[in-house]
Amino acid sequence: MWSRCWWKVLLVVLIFSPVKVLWEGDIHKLARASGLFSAGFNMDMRGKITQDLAVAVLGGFRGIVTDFIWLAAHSNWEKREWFRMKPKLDTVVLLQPHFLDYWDIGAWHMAWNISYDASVNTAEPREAFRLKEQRYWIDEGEKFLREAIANNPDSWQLYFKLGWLLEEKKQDYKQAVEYFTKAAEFKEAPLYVRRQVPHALRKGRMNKEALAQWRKIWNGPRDGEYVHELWDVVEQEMRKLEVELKVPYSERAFPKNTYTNVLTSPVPEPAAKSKPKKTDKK
Amino acid sequence: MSLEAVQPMQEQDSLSFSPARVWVIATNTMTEVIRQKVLYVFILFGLALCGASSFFTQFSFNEELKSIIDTCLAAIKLLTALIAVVGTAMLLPSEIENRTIYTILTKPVYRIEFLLGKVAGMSLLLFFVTIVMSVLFGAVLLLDEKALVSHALQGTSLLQASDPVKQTINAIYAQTRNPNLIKAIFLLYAQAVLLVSMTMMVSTFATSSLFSIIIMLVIYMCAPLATIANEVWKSQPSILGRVGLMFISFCIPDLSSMTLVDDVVAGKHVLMSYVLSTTGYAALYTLVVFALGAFIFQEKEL
Repeated sequence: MWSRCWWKVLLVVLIFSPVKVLWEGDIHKLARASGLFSAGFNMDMRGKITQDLAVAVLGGFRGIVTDFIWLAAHSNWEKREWFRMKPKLDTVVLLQPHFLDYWDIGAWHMAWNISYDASVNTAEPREAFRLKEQRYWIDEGEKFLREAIANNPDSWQLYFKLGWLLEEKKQDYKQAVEYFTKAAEFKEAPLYVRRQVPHALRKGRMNKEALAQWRKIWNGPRDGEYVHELWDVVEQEMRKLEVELKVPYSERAFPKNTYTNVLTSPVPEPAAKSKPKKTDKK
Repeated sequence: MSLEAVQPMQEQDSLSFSPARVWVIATNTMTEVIRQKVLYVFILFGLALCGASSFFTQFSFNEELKSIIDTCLAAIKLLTALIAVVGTAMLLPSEIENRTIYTILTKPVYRIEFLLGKVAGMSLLLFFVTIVMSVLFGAVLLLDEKALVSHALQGTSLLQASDPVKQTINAIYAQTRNPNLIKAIFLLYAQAVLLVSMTMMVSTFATSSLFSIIIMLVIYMCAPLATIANEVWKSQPSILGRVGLMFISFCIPDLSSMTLVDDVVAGKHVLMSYVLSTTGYAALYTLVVFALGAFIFQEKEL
């Protein structure tokens, strides 16, 4: 059989092989351009999962394997087994690095839940060690989110989450502003993301910059989705900062107002000119 | 097999290629595979997998929907691949074992028509299986969507819902009504057809169906590594290693480019040009492998 057809088979293979390789290269180029299948099988993966799981991943069950490891990590979290949970989180994000919830929830567990648990851990009587442990988990959460951004540089959510972590947990307002700004630059980012920039600037006592940001928002468009901007909040924040920074009346956005109780309540509308009191002339 | 389509051709002096004969063989092949009990085991397995998605209802809606999409697409992928490999591997050996192949090939039917009919029949069957599984997947997804939306609304109407609730509902719709899911399923079908053609090629020279199944399962499992092999091949210093990896790279199709489950789950947009290019690649590969199988089958001593 082979003696009669081997040359035909060889001819087809020889003609097709370069076409195959070139076409595959083209497909991969197209895939890279649209950010597809960048999570292939790699050697790091083999080191972190058992052989059975590796076979399941190769057999097309990557998603299901990831889901079950995630379930196991969740179970560790419920039992407060933090050091068993962390490697599972790492494996999950290695298997499916583009599913943002894994990064987001993983970092939240580390920087918020576990770090808090470490800070109130009754089993550790030394406060310094508790604080050290707390700091460790906050740093782990931050590292996790930075890795998330490296894997998904085109998602505003992760920049926002990192900014949030830096603001709330590390009080690093300068860096927080940097990440909030990056998140706000995305078209699809919701309106609250851009409001977070001046909020963080104010928390970091960068009041001039905060006011400039609020003004930018205030003077920006108000149609379309911007209708839903919390304009009363923007106005209130601007009023507070104008008072605090002692901005000359001529440069204020709201020069006509009175300034009493402006820090605690929205400023009332300018009072109408009072008519002269009628005096009873007897 | 019905002989009406075949009989008139005997009167002609030179027999031309006939799509009618191919169609008859294809429909018979489909009936033959449907009668195999193993098919129902696979379908039951696929349905069970789709139902297993309720494991994740304790998590956020994103994770819950992700688990459903993961499970259902994996079920479609595995089920179509298994039917393609096992069903096709059993076709030729069973024809030879039952001696039906002799009665067919002694009639005016070209061997290539016979082979094409077999591949077309399996592809048709896989098409119906994919449709059934996709409908089931859609139903599971819609049911879950309904439950999640009503949970998000908490008794209020959509018009009265606050902005965050509307955002949540939009996010749910974005996952459940994602057109990229259809593209992903279509590419899984293209992959299954390619597997049919490859299995048919292997079974033209294999001595048993078990041999074809094992070979094909090895190829299927190695396919995700083809990309790595391709990259390593280019940077391999030793000539022997280079030749070996080159061989793997040439022999194993890039099935991972037809598996977009992870990307669709992650919310990536699949370009139409990508779908067309990958489909073209799968079609050409299917054709070439079929041609190889036809050459071998033509010379096979039955």
